[in-house]
Amino acid sequence: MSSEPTRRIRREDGWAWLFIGPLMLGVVVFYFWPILRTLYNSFTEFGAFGGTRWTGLENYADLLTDAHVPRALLNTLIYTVIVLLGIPLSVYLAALLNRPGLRLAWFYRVMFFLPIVAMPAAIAMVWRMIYNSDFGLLNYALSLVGVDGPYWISSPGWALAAVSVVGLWSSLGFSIIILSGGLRAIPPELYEAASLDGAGPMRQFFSLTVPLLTPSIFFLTIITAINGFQLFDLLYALLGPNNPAMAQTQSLVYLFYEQAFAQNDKGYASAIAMLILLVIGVITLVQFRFQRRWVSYD
Amino acid sequence: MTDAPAPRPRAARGPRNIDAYVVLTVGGLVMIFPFVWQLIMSLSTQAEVTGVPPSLLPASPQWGNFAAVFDLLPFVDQFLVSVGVTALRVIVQMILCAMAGYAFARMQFRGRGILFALLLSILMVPNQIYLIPQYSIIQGMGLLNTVLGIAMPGLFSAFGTFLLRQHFVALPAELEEAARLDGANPWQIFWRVMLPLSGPALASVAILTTIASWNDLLWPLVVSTYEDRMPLAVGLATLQGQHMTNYPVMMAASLLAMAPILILFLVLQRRVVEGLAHSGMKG
Amino acid sequence: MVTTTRRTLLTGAAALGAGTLAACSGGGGGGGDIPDEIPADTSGEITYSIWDQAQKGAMEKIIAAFGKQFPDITVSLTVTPFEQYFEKLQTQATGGDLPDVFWMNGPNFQLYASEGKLQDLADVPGVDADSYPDAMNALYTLDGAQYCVPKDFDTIGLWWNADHFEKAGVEAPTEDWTWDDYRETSRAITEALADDGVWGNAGGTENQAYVYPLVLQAGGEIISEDATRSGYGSDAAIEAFEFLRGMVEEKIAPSIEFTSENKPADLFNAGKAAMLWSGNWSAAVFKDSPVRDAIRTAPLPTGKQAGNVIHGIGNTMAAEGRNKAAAAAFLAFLGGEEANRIQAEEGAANPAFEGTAQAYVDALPEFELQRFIDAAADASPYPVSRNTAAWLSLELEYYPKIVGGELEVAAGCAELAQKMDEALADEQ
Repeated sequence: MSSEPTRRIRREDGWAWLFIGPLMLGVVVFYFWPILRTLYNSFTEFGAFGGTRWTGLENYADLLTDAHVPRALLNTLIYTVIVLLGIPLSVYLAALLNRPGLRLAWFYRVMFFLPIVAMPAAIAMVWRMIYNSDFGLLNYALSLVGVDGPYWISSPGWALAAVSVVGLWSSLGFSIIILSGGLRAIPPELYEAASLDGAGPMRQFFSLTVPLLTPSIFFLTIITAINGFQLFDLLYALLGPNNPAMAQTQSLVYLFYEQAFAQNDKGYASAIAMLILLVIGVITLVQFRFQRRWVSYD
Repeated sequence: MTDAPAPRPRAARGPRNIDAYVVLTVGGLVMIFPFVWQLIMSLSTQAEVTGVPPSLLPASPQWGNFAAVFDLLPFVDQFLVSVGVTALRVIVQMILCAMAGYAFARMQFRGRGILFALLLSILMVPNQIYLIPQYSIIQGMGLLNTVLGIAMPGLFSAFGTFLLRQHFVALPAELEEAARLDGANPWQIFWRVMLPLSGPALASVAILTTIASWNDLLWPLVVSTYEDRMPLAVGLATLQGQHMTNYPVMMAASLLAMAPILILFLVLQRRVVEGLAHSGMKG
Repeated sequence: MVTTTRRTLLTGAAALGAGTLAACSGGGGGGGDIPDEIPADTSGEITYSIWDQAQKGAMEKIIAAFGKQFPDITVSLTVTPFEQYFEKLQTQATGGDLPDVFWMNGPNFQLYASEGKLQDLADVPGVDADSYPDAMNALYTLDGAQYCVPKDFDTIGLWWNADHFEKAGVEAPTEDWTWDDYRETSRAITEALADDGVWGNAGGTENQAYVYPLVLQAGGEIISEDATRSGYGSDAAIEAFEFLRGMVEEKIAPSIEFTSENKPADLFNAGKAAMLWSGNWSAAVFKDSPVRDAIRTAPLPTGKQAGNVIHGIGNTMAAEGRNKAAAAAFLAFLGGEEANRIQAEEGAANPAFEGTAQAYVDALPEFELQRFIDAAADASPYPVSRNTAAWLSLELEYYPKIVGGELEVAAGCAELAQKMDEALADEQ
């Protein structure tokens, strides 16, 4: 009896490798290898085209004393938290969109879908115009109610908020798609039963829908956090390197980009990349550990 | 089981759904108004767009901007490249990620946790670090400037695997156990039992991968040199000049590039929803 | 002057290059040597990489003209947006796969040249440095060897809007204008036309067009001659920044936040600013401006002395290309009279080849572009070092802080100078 489980595991091993083999092969070649290279580079001084010189922990020491790093980390965290707030909102919206009998559901779905389909550069341009403090739509709308709007993307305080809002806006469609998948997987019979039991829609939502959605929500919190930490393109497109608010608003990946391609200090940039990996890795790990508490896989 | 078409239990009595319509309409408008503006810009002249302040509405619609896109870019060629790259990525990912996702979810094997953690970790680093190593590999394989070369790194997706893994984890174990007792091997279980239940998840992966691939800019930019062999996203980016950009034409190009995806989404999402309504869910 | 072949220096540079080449992945240096005279039946396919969509038409015409002389060589043109151009170039360089011929600029030149990525022009037949401005040749020379053929050049001038001047009742700019004239005229216009939302000058902190000339005019420099020390700590630099800061503070020029969201060039283009310091590259943009008829140019004002900056794109070829003979033929053609004349005719840029600019000037007579060409004689070359990008990003960070008032001018300049010195020290 005791030998059976081990035999089953070993047999599973063979099958498992067959299933994950092709994927992992590609991942190792195209992704792991570069990460290992980056790890190695973080211990070197790396010229623009090669020519490495081992410097040990020097880059990491610099990391600890660089004033930009804690600021960038904080900015990245703030941005990520704000975008994460989009998840509860998306749950609500997805539930609405998937209500049975909702007319024109497909039309609404397309509307929410648009932001993630569009070309990022064009989107950024439009948002820049919206945020323009003298001629933009936002401040114009505010002026109608007597509020004098600030420089949204050029003041250090507001810039991060402005970028985060766009991040939130553009990620709602993504979350809704994921959640819709989860919602459709919930058998309608469960709702029937709940109705028969006398549960109203609100009750059904919180006791039935949400718990069954927790696997999808968990997925979203993981992915959104990871993506949040990768903030760069949006920041670059909305603010631009020339912006007075950039120094206080830059994210970790922006810092990385600047070191890698503007300053050509690829060794130091690699150390920053490792830092990013470490921080979001820990956050993800913690999330996985905690999932038992709130995620119900059936 | 009674032939219950489209769940009726939470019967949609008219007034009940008003809150939904209100919220969704407001939300929807917030979502789309940048595109409305984009459309307005694409029909304006450069002077109107770069005016300080920019004009709200064009004096007369400049439909010529859309035609100009085809003059400035080999649109059809680039479109086909985008289609090729995207199709490759979606198809290969669906296969590889489903298999791996299932294994990570349902199979016990040594090192499962570590491998999964390592897999996720590739999403956690700035993707610029992949640029040079991937370039060297693709170059070494002689695949620069080819659809396969552009698509290749994207064939292997941690994101898709994670999504499908979550999906498989959520499926009830009883189905599997029943099949196992029947003597099915893992492949048969996967192919005959698990996969058919994965429609929505696979559709999600397909849609999201399509979007990501369609708008993918940096990697294809680096890997393609010839104008007629680069994907649409790269072609659009080249419309930006050093000192000036023809914004109306760029907006028009962006809308044209978006259109195929929108249409695809319209078609896909209705089919998936309808397909599920008839499938009766998890038996 | 640079055309002489310094064999000793060349071997030194080549040794440096070879050492680095060995470290690169994948050799592929089998592009063949360049013959002393390239036969007209040379064949092959080469790639030409540029970053400005606006000049694509001109480049295509040049390629067509080249095809008449070398019918068996195919040139494939690639346009990469400027923002990603050098990122892509670096990736290609690291992979040993640079385009055969490509555009280069001052800030990035030394990095590529010092790593042996660029072909020494001494081995390229048909290139005569005497045809181009001295400062341009100097910009693209490293350790006695020149690596890029100047393609175009630009200097800075004062663009102004005649309608605004007239409406505000101020005199047009003259050759004798000083900083005070510039400021007081800005003040007068800003006050007179405030209701129209027009600024006297467009403000901003553009480095090449605004800050560098100001510092030079105050008697300072951006970087020392030997590229080891920053010039930002000097009194001249402080004077220049105080000048800019003063105008922002007195609301003669728009605030830093404003110009970050509404670029000075856009303001001028839309007729919302009466004056702008900019290079002749703006001609291509302003010719389509809604206020084009009012736009004029004038020489820059002088501070303690005159000061101007000259810069331009250089064409260069990869040292390890696959078909160096064909590439060399094309490179020489690009640097020749015909190609430059085509540039002028297409209005793409002000061609570097002496004497070919007439069409460029004639195309936009009211802009009086000749003055930009004349300014080249006394202009200082764009300041660069081995890793210019490192301190360029410092400028982007500090300029807004200094001019915007977040940092005291003297303290801010000192900090910028110190950081820049550190970056320059790292290069050694």
